[in-house]
Amino acid sequence: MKFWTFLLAFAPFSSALFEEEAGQLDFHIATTGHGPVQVAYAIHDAVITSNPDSCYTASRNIRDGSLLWRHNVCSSTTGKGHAMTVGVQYVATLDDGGILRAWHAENGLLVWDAVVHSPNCIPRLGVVTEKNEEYVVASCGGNSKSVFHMPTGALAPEISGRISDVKPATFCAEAKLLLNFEGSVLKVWDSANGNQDSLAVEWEASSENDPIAHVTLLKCSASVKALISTQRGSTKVIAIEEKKITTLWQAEESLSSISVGSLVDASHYVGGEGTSHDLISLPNRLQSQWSAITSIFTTERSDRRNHLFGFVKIAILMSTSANRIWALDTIDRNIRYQIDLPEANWHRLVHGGPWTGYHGDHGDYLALSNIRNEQLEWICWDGPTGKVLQKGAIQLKSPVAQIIPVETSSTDCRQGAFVLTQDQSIYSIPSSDEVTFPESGLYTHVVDTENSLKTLLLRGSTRLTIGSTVFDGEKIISLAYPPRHESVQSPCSVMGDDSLLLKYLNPHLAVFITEKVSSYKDDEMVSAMFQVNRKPVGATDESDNMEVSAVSTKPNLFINVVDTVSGQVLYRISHVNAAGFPKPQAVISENWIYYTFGNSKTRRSELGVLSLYEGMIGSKGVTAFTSPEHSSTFSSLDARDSKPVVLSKLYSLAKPVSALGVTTSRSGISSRRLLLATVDGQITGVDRKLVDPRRPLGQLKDSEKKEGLRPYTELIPIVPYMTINYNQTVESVHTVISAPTDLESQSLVLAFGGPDIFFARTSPARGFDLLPDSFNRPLLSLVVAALLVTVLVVDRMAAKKLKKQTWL
Amino acid sequence: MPRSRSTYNIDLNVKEGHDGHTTLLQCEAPIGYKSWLQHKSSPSSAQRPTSSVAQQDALTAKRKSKAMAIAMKPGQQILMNAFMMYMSGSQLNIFSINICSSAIMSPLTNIFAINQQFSALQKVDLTTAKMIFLALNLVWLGIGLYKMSTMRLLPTTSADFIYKIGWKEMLETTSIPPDNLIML
Repeated sequence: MKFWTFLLAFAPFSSALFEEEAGQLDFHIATTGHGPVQVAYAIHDAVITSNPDSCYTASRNIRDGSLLWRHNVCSSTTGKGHAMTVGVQYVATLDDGGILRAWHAENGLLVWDAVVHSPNCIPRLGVVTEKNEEYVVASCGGNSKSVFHMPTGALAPEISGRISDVKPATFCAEAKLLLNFEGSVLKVWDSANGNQDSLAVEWEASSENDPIAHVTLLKCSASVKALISTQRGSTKVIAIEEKKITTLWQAEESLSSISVGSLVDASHYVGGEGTSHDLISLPNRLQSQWSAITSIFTTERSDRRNHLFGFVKIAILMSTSANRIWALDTIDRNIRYQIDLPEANWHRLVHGGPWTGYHGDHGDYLALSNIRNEQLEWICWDGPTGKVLQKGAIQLKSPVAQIIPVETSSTDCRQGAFVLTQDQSIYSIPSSDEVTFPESGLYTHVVDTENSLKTLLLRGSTRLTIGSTVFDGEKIISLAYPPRHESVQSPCSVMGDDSLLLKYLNPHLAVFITEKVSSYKDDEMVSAMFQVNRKPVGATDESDNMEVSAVSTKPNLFINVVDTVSGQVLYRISHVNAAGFPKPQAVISENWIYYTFGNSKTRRSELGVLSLYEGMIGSKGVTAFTSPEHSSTFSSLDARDSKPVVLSKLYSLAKPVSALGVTTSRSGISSRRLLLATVDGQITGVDRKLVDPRRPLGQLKDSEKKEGLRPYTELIPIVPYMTINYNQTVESVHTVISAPTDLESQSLVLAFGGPDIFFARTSPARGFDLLPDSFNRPLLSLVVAALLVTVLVVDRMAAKKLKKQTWL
Repeated sequence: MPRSRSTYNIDLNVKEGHDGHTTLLQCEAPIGYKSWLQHKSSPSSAQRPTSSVAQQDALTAKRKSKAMAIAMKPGQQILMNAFMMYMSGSQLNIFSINICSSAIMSPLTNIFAINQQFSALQKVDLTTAKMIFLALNLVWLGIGLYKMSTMRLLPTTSADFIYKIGWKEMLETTSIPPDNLIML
């Protein structure tokens, strides 16, 4: 009886509790995709926004700003703009390819589409109402217009309509208010007839650096709602009630144009001063377990322990088009701070130096802004907090050729840079006292024109040209460098027969992807015309078979592995039938190079993998009594050492890839996973074993089986459960970055570039050093306590029994 | 039925280390006790029969053959253990680990206890027997070590000495530029 009572009392705690982990370890930020709002219309409870210079139209809920739907309305990948107009229930868009589409305003579903004109359309739209029916008037420039019935898409040539520029509504007759703006200040006027009668309210809508660009009334009643959009892409919806302005919601639309990003560790800012975060120590682990147990009884979230494991990161995101930097907290998912940069030709984010490693990394960042090639403004700030440390400007005499990140001896700003201009001048940031060259000099490289590369040695005031490479007849289209923070666990790989492959670990590598610049001599048709025996076109007999090959057999894409110290091309591989879309990408990880490109013949994406090695040591080459003959130094200028042995393989992918990334870990022990961002908005992981260049073509040998190699198959499967963004769509990703944490098994991934930003925590080798958050700690505590009580009770019972037996 | 080891069992014999043993030794022996002891230990009082030389030789031969039998005993176990090691396979599991560990521990135990093995036969020359015993145990140990090396438990290949491959020092210094410097 006692046993059953005991069991029934504690049975409920035995059930395992599993939390739904989606959304716990990752987040997804969806923007409208069009950047600063230039056109906005209110339809019922939604505001339809767009920007004519972009391809996106979107709808947000007026009350809370949640994204209802978003569409890329351009019909081709090279589309650059569109026009948008709205009816009562429908939204019409016309892109620069002449495709007119109508969408349902509430749910964004496509209702109909039609072709208005041939490409090179300058789109303009208008809406006409006739006999209670709505018609959309579309024009691609000039006087020609097409009129379509809005709900059905039927052509209505009998309807005449004009397209007039629609000004945004700013006057609310019911509330007798008129809105306008000056700089970053919103002005609300009392107005009976649309005139500025008297100023009611002046409100600072944004910072001085980010003036207002657009104001639209969304709702006109006793309570007025308006949308304010700034030049840098901040969108706010405000409510004006009794001359008081409250912000309903705010969105950063320019997050859709992030050009570069970086993850910086902010764990040491959590937990207060004196808290040790540097290494995983037993006291920290015990503290984290205690706070996990106490969090059961409090409302505190268990992820407050994230700072102990290095999970708290700040994503520093820079947009060149919006001239702004954001710092996104990856735990709270809020924007911690933003920094406005001056309007410039380009901006660059600088972080790290020649000897930057994971533990030695500081959190300072440097942003350089090139203003008309005459002035370079720079700002240095602390990445986790946003505190500006130093700023300044340099007058330039010639355009910038290269930026070389270095670390400074300054106590203010630890991030510095050398700026090399085309006239071989060098400028130091912050100042020449704080930034110095290493004694042995600093090697750098400059891409001279579209197809040449020059390497230099900078030592004090000396500039020495070391080498140069010219890709004759080609154009550089993509470039990849090794990751800065990567840890490599071992200098060699172990094969199945216990022999060793020595990795070629050259930190000066770069991959240049070049494409052939076509000349008339390369044209198949032209070369065919110069053949002597060729008959004129059309003058052939029926029996003749004249095949004109549409597909070239000459390579048009080249992957060049270059050493940026010597300027030598260490390895070069060419491919035929490479397509321009998607843009070829490359990424370097350890001694592996991955690259993707589209194949116009097979209509698939191809993934090339190169692995670089110095050489091989046999299984009996190193024993307890012998050592390998191995140089202890590496020099790129030494012809014997610098050339690698390259193993390569080509695979096919079912989906086009827009970006590549590789997971990283703290010590490089966990297996790395290749991340593919596909054009359909998925980010999928591929295990490295699957794309190993050593996969054999024939049958597997025993040693290869032991190593885990599989026979070569061309197609790499995209496995759904390896997709880290599960059912979220991350559109148009062009960069995937990864950062390690203090736990070896965990890696953080950030994907951006398009209208969506996605961040996730992933475990390429499973979480072998981490208890899952769903681990049943109460049950474990209960079982341990129950066992202790049982041991004590049984011990007493046994002693009693022994004593009783002894007396018998 | 009385128990052999009862709580109330008292041994009245005074042995070395007990209280009073030293005092007892210093006391005089009882009358006639010393002469009785001498008589008991003298060979003449044992009344053992004398043996001839042939019998002595036969005895010696028997002892030698017994010693050889002890020396050859490991050889019989080698075959059986070798077969068991072959059947246990090269995967690491409890069975193969057991077999391997017994193949290592048994010959080592035998080698270190070699004198105890032959302690009953000290009157004959045991050099040859001991050498054979040692050799066979070493063969057994060798087979065990070979089995361990096939199971990759011994550092015999290059993969076990990766630490000897050091990191290279880079003679040149570069710094990775910002990725998006080139307008592509």
